[in-house]
Amino acid sequence: MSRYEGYETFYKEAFARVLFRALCITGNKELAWDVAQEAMLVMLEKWDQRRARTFDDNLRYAAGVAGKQALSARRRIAVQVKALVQLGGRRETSAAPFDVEVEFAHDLMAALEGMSVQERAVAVLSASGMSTGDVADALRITQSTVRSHKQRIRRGLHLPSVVLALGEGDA
Amino acid sequence: MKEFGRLAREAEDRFVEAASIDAAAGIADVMHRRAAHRRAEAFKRVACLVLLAGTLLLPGTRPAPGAAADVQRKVDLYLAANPGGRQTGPGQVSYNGGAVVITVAGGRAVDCPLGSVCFYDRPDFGFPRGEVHDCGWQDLSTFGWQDRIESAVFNRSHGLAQFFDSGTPLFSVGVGHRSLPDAGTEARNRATQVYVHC
Repeated sequence: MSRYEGYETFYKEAFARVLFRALCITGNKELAWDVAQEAMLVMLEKWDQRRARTFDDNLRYAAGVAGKQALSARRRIAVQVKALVQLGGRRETSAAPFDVEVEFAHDLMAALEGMSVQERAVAVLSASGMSTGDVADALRITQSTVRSHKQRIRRGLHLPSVVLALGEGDA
Repeated sequence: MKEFGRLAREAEDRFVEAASIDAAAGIADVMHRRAAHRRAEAFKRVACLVLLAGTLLLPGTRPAPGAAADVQRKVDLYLAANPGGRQTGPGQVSYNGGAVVITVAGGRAVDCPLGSVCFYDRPDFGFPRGEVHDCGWQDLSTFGWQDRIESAVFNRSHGLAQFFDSGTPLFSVGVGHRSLPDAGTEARNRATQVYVHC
């Protein structure tokens, strides 16, 4: 049996979902493509160990990898912008503008736009059914950080029209 | 008032549905940059017109007669060394029913065709060049390209292409990293297969 048997099917079924979650986290089309592809590459490398798991489990794992990649990418961009400003450039916008529209998801995008990148990652991964511990592991942050993000998101500070419910008994 | 989780799942399902109708067009249609999107589309239209005009009007793009004979000789030699191909143009040979096109000689280094994954014999996209147009596996030895790829370009709307050395991943190009001018010392001249994810 090939080492990659079953991967192509997984890729076809999962990629658009990973891409959508990456899009919600990054708010940037190119970056979303990038991190979703990177996540699928990581999955390919680990396919030998993961092929026996359920589709949903692997999908959550891939989305978690994409979330981590998105945070790292945003951090790199922020550092680059800061360096440019220090070199005399002008800061015209924030380092991480939410710059994407999805035609049928205006409410969702408006809700996400008001959050930080890390809050978006926590919100998106939690909404896909990941526990606080799983989200913390995926994003390499502490569980208490995840909890505080969830509390802030729940308070609805950023959200004029959307109530956030991120999983029961999981705060 | 909607719950965030449900909102996200519904949107994701619609996104996937739109994407599955036509993977390339579907995703491109449903997500786009705001103001930048319109500017990019206008720019693309102008750029196409400029390129078309340049192709039609610029002198010296056709090879001289002596050069043409040299190109044909290289094609003949290539086909003799790698049977199974079919000449499809000056300096060009195709394999696997057109899934792979090799520019044996006479190409220019700036034009990996839209919809293709291109791989090159030299770093910095130096010709000869191969193009893969289909999804899935291609065994590079079928058309004499094993152990010779040094750079690559991805010019498809989505997906990625991975290059392997007998099953071991070496490098990849995709929508996030479209150009690889040098595969690097560990991966240069080692690829034996390519897999195009669509």
